[in-house]
Amino acid sequence: MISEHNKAKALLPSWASQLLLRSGLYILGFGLLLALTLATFHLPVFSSAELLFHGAFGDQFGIGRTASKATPLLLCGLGVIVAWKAGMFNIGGEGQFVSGGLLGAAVYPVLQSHHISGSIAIVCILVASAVGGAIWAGIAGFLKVRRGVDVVISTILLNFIAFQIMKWLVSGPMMEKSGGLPETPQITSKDILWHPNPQTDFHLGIAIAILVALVIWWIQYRTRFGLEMRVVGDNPTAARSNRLSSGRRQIEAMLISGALCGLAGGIEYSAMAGQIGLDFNQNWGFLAIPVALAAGLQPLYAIPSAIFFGSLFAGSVNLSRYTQSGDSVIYIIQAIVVLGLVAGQTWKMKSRRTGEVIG
Amino acid sequence: MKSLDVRSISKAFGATQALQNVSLTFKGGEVHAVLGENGAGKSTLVSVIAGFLKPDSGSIVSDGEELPLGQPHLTRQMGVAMVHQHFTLAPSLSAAENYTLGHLTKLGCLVNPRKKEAELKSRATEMNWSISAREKASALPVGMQQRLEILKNIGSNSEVLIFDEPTAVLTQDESAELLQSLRHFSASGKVVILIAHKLSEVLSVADQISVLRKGVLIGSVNRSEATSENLAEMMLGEPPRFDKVQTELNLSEGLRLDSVSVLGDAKNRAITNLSLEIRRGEIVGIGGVDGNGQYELSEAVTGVRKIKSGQIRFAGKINPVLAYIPGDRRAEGLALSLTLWENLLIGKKRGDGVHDGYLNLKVIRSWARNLLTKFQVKALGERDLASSLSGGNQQKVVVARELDRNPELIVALNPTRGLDIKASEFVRSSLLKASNDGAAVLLISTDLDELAEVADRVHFLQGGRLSEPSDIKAMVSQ
Repeated sequence: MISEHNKAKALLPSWASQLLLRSGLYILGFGLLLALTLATFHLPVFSSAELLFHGAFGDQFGIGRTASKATPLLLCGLGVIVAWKAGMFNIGGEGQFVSGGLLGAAVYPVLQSHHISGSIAIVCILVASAVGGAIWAGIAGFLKVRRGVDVVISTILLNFIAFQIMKWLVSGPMMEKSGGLPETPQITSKDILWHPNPQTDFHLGIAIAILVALVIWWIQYRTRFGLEMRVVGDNPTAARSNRLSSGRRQIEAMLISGALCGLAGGIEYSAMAGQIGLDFNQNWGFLAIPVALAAGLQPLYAIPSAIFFGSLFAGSVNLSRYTQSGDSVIYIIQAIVVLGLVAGQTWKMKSRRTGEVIG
Repeated sequence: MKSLDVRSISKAFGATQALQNVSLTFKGGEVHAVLGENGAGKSTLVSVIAGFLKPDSGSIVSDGEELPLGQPHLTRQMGVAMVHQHFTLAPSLSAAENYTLGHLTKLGCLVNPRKKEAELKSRATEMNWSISAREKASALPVGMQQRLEILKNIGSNSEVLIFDEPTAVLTQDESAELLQSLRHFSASGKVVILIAHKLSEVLSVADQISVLRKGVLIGSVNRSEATSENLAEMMLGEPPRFDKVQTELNLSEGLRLDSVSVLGDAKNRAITNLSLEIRRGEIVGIGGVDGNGQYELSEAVTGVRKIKSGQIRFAGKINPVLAYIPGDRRAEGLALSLTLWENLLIGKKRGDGVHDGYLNLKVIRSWARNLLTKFQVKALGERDLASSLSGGNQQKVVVARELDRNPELIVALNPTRGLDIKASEFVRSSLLKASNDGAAVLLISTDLDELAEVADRVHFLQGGRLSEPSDIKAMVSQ
């Protein structure tokens, strides 16, 4: 009853031609979007686009900027993917990012007092931040499974709590002793995450993030654990009647999701900021949601998606020649991309629904 | 509208010819049943008539006037109404509000809720139905939801009424009542089109019966000429075989329930003091109307729901190798947005490429392919999404997954609900085969014919209590 797979296979494996077609369409659509948005703001379309591109990929500084912005986007985006695929709509990436960074920063003085430094210190910081994020997301997961509290609401509220705790910590218990600014002490240069060229923003984080993306893909699609998480997310009733413990998988998904966002915070702290101040939350946790959606919630697609959005933010610094609000233009583009994707999804579902009538 | 002429309609989906040059005349004042297996093209045909699908060629003429094709709104305005197989009610709105949704004329036009409520009530009375107009749709019993669905979709100006498998979710009593109401509609001169695959229903209500097979109109017969044998032959292309395997009970100890009590979702007593024994190789049927504890019983036996008191054991153990075949495969059986091989893996512990930590895809895929072939699932390949299959094939996937683990105990809850004859027969023969192989089978079903065909003995469940075994064969032949 299984017939031969279609013949297009001969030329390219189906996933590759899919990928080509998909990315081609995305690039085309995005180009149009960009041109329209720029034109709406009365910016010169071609020279602005060129500036954007140059700012993102033009030189080693641009590439460094792109990579450093893609890193938190990718990690938080993966966090969104893992949670959402398990049916947990984690909107709290930002709070988990912050709590991850905070725990990493809290561990650092302890390491220093034990004279631990270099790569061991960095590993400790990153592990601590993953734990910090996992705890923060775990609270929401636990509340959902044990008490039925909606994840969207609890994670949004936990974001606010995390921000306020951060404010209190950096202007109180964790404040740098010497200066009077609400900031944690600066990491010494030998404990900073490896930069191949210290003049640029390029750091090891992007490699870690890509590696994590591969691991997450493997877990999701090549392990029983990942399969169970996705089954629970797709149809909890089916999971229940097959005696899978949905609650456990959902809490685990939240822990992983939070750990990824926390790791993003830890990398941001140890590679870019070097300390945690009031401006530590740069909304990466929120900006990662469109990244995940644009990737169709597929861990591997999240890599190009994060690099793409990262390059937009990186390139936008160059727009300051024409406008003070380069970032805003990018936010608008991001929002339109998401709206377009949602519309596309709806359209797809609609055609699927009419398809159901058949037979 | 006196009649509706379908003239040489053809429609293809990709390589599948869903309808091939179908011409039919539906007359006013008649109940015209369109019969066929799943995938025969019945739903496609009525979707074309109602304008949801645009045919590749052909036309539809009503009283000399051509209907617009592929434009459901216009078609509806011209008096063609369709009641879908799946309910289209908004669960959290009241019955009256749902009714209003189906009868909005223009966007922005004011709605008088009182007037709509009165309208719903008067139309229900006209049909001799009672509907609690202010109750939330989700709180209504299924039979009443169906009536609401009908009144919602059928306007006072509707002249052509299409019912797409309306009895799929109803109990036998509810079905009988519904079929009576079809006669009520046709008596007022309307064209009534009934899509069905149950022969008994069609024979009880239709005036004219047309049979489709693989997109081709096999024939159209008058009720007086129709018998269940010749209709089944038209549908299937060959006389149906009901080769019941004679079970040789090997009667070693199997499932044993000792005065089990179970609470329902609302902490009500769903099952009270139930004792039952099923030996290996035995199929025990549980009949009765839905909502009398069937669901809770199946959940208790499968271990998903905790029991309040009593004991459930399988040959002394707590955890036998268990298969569970639910009736609602979409809601309970499958993860629809996942692939077939992934669905076949749900609940699988080890073996065939499943290791403790990781999945060996090469082995799993070929295992899945074999399984799909063995259970006659019609699919392009194991990487198809579960949502892309028809209902019958989805159920076969569930059966394949559950029976592949060589279960000691099988719990089936309405396993053939909504399936066509061939698929139902396949599911039943799979159950028979598994019981021959030594599984104890608990078959809970509202379908008496099914229980009579498969079960060794049948109890009835009413108000959470189990009756003494009944002579089901005598009941069915009556």
